[in-house]
Amino acid sequence: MPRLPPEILGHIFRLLKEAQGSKLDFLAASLVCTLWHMEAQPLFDPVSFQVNDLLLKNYIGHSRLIRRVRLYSLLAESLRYGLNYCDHLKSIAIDVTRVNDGLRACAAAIHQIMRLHPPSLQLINITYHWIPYVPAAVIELLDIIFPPGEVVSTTSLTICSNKKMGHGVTIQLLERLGPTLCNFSLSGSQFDATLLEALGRCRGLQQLSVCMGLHPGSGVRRAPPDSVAILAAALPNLTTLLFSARNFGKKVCVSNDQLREIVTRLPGLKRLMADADRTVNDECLRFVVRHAKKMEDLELIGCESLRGEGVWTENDVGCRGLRRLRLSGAFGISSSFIRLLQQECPGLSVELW
Amino acid sequence: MSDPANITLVTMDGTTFTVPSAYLHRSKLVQDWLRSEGDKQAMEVKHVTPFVLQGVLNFCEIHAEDTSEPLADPADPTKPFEADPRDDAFRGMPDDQLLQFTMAADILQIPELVRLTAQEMASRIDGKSPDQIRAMFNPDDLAEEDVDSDNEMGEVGEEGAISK
Repeated sequence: MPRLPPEILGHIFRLLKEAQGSKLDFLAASLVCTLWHMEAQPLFDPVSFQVNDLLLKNYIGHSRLIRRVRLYSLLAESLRYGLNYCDHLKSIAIDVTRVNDGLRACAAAIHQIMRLHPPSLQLINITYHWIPYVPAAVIELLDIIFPPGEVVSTTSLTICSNKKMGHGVTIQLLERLGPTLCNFSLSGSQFDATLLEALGRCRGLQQLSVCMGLHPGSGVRRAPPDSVAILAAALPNLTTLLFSARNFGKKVCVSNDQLREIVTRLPGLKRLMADADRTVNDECLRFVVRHAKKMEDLELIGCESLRGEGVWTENDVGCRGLRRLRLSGAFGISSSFIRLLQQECPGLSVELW
Repeated sequence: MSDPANITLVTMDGTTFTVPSAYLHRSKLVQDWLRSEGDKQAMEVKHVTPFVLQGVLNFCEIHAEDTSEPLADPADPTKPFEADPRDDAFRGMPDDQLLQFTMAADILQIPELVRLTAQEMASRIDGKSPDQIRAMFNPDDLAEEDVDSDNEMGEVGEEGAISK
């Protein structure tokens, strides 16, 4: 079969570019071979194929889903050839309530991209809605995107749930992605012993946020009361620890000893948010401010035992880079302490509420 | 001296076709040849088979009396393509034949036929994957420099691999 001359290819690409709805045809043709790619380049508008998020959702029509599958397949092919069309890919967003063949095909296309490790794609964002949810459906799709045994390079995971659901999926994902995970944000899931153990195995975690926890269902194991300190001991690379979850209806609060342990075990901690129990007093706060030398943002909720006791000196302030301090319930805190902090930490914002 | 009212075309294997010159008034190659070498017996059309040339001449005969302006640019976006039922034969032909007719149209410089075949090729690409397009138009005989650049990438792709 003869080889098409460049000028004919140029005509074809111009016709494809002009035709309504042929963007994907243009992209497909541009990936046929070197010659075709070169002829397409002058007409190529990279913005047309700039995708930031790979979407796995079933709130769209079938034809849109089919187009999405085709686009993702073509992006995977471009990635195989070392082209830069995937450079803007940042995340996978999963928001499904049921599985069908279209979603399976979409997940398979996303897997084709994932296995080629696009450089910027580091975040997986999972959202659960109020609509009845089937964990097995999400797990089935995740198994397609991240087949067991395949190397994963994802470093960030965000899971957001409005209801007490998704626990099984969260555990599965942490098991699957744990070795490479650096950032994990969990909102609205229950906090129990299983989740604590799964989190403890994500040894590379640098940023952990667990908030808005809900009451666990029946048949689960309680997390121990010193869960936050256990996490600090298990995850030595944490620089951000935001924790405001519930364990069987009770807040997971840190005690005086636990707060000291967290600060001691995590010398690189820059951001800490936690619920404090009644044992967290002025001496404990003094310990934190003195030893958490990298701290930039500190928020303690429920500091009802701060009485403004003791005399503070410049030597008590080790966290000279502190930029934000939020203390709730700290109505008895000493004003001299606040003044000292503001003197030693330029630009510090203090909120007492 | 040839008959100025007719022109004889000779294909790659020596087959001759004599047709009224008017049929080929949209062929820039033929018009240029008639101006410069019209005193010769026949015009050689190398690289075109008798079957394909016959098809091209059929197209030219069908459109010989068209009064539309000659098409300067086969992909001119200001002139939307309108399918002509007289050209249905081109729309139904196999991919490899379509490719040969496209090449012949390009060789004979007949913009209207180039447009028709290019449009048909574009429409056949509709919804296809790169693999399927490769299977249709077989562009996998890479030039040597393409192969070299693939090797430099450290990855020899599938047929028709793209070098960055």
